[in-house]
Amino acid sequence: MLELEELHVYYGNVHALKGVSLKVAQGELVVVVGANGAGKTTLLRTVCGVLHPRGGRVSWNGELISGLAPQRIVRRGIAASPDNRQVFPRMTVMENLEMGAFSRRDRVGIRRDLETVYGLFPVLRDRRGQVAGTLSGGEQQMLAIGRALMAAPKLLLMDEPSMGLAPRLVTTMFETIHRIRDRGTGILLVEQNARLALGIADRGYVLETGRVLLSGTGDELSENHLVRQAYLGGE
Amino acid sequence: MSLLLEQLVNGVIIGSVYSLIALGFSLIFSILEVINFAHGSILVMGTLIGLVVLQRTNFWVGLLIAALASGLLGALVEKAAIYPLRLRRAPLGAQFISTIGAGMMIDIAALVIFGPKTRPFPPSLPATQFALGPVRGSVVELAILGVSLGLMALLQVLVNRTRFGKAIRATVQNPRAAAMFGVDVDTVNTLTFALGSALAAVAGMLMGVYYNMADLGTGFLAGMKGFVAAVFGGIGSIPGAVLGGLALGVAEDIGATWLSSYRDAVAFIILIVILLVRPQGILGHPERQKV
Repeated sequence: MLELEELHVYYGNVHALKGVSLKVAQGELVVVVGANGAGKTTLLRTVCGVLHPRGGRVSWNGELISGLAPQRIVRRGIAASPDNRQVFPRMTVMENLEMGAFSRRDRVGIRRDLETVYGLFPVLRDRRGQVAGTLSGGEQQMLAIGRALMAAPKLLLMDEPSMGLAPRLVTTMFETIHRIRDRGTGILLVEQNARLALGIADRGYVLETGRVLLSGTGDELSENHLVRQAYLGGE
Repeated sequence: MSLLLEQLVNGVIIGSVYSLIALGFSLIFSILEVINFAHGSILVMGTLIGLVVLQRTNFWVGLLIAALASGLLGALVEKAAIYPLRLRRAPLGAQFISTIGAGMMIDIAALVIFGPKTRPFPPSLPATQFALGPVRGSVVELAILGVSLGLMALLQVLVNRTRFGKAIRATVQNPRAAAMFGVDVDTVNTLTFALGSALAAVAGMLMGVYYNMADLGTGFLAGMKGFVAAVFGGIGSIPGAVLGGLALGVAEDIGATWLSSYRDAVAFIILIVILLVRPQGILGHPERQKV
């Protein structure tokens, strides 16, 4: 289980997270919604070790992980599909997926997970020899998620998986995310697309300028009039 | 005709050595975005150490020790002169100047340990000459070409086929993402620096047997020519470094026919022209293509 307690994170001189507490139970799909600049990306970067908190703690299955380097955190079973995808642009699709499994040594498991990823995103199989920088935005998004899955994470961090996707693909993407969860992988997802994200979430949090404004089950938040006004376009 | 052929062969032989030096510059640049101006000094130190070993054993043991010594020295330079600055997010200009400082310290150390005088390289490879069609060659030249091209091929395999090479490429393309998937980026930086430095020492030893001597000045000049070759081919590009070195070697040899006393100036004339005409180098892309 992932647990953030009273997390304070600075981005340069900006106080980006001001005492955020949040939990993701094993196998749970938790969504964090919020506007641009609410601190969603900072939150994920802190969990995966790219940023270190100035106050508070991140623990994973009872062990303190805030302050560990990213390469140590991935070995503990947390992998991310980061903001702006950040695929390796001059490596092929296949090589990117292999990089996802860089921290692993079990060849059999890696091959099995490669098949799973190709099953979730068939287009990646078709493009496996293509250089990642030449993929479309949507394909790069799939590759970023596939690469994270290749680390065989127990917890998958996802930053705006719907960003840059055609509307038709967004729905498919959320169905796929739901399937990943159903296979037993816990997911912490941050999204601006609140309606769809809360629709598949077990639980959710609303983040506003670095603070948790609301939390509840996905359904509760979808029904909440504040959330409807601010993030689901009125009604 | 046969003169031109001779020049071409000589150019390729010395050019392959420049390529090795250029590869070190390019490897280090592509991963740290810093021109390592201690490269020539690391080359000299490794070569002088290798020469001492060579005098007591043979050429090949000397070559190996030179590579190891420079590799270690390179790792030390990275850890002492670059890593602390990167940790504090120092601008690249400061890191670059730091390498100049490290180079000066190595030069002074070499001066204290080995003295200022030019050291002869004892004949350590058979001086046998042979003719291959119209081209005459020697075992020394064959050894130089073989070692250079062999190492280049090995480097290609290392970068494209091994786990370490994959880590290098991932770090070059996106260091943050590389770390997020388990690459220890600090270690990759240090080892890449060591690898580039070891290649420089090999080049220094090859130049030693070619010219039958080694001293601080020729080592420094060799470092500068490697830099020109790297820029010529497109800094950060591996095929560019190889091509740039070979092209520089040939250009020098042909240029020397007309301007014999300005042989060493040819490299710098090329540098100025390339910076004016095609600053990204022969194989470089304007947006800079790396490993």
